[in-house]
Amino acid sequence: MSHPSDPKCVRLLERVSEYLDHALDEGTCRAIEVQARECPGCAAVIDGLRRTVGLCRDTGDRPVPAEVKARAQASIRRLLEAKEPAGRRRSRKSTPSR
Amino acid sequence: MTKRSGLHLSDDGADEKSAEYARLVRAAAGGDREAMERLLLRAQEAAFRVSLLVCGHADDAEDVMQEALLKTYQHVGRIREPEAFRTWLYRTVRNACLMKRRRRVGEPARFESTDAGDEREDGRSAAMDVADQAPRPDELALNSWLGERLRGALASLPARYRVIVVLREVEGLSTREVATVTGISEANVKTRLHRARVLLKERLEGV
Repeated sequence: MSHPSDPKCVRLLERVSEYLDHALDEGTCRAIEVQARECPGCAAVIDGLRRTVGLCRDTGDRPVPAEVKARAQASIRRLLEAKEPAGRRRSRKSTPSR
Repeated sequence: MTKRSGLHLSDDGADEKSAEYARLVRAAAGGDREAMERLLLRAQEAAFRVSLLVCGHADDAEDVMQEALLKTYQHVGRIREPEAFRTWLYRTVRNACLMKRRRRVGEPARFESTDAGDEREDGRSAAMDVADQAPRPDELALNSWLGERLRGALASLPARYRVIVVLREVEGLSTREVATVTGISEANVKTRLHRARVLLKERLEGV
């Protein structure tokens, strides 16, 4: 399916990204779905691309490693304390902890 | 044209994420320390993911995070369009990545944008030719977090495709936002994204 010769497969491969992104009209979507039902190669392309995109999106949703987050939080604390007016820093430090 | 949804993938969340950033920016600019902390953390996390996946080096990612931290803090105080913050952030991170690539030892001395045509005839990135070094412990941890297979497949993409797929699929930017960040047309973003997806699928499947 990497280099399909059937014009129907070629057309599907050209539009499959738009299909996955909801960017096609109803008629074109239906034609792609009919083609995918008739051609196992085309169905495999759609499934493979959907899995590929899903894998990338899962990565974006995953929290960054804990040690990276901890370093980021420490940097933020240092920056904000350095930028905070000295008076506010002193009053914050003198506030008794509950 | 009637468009439809259903079993497909969607980028509807992009606008909502931009709106979330804008809310945080307004609150932080108004003196809300907690909002500032959350905004800075998000900016650093985005910088880490993008720089690691686009540049491929953990050391660079840490530096890009620091740059995102300082620039975001400075930018929030004078921002006029909070809704444009998200694209500003990713443009800033992308530029920092470009500078890192430029300075990295062993890479070409001349400046190369991520849009540069570094694809060889076989579709693989020229960076693939660089000799591998034994992975350091932090690299192993990153591979474990990200998935060595996906990281390797992304690294093998030509840079001009890699940056598009990272911004669009990993970070969830809309096509319009990716076009703004990279300075290319939306039509070009769509074309590159399609090619990137197909190449990435082939690399993941070992074709």
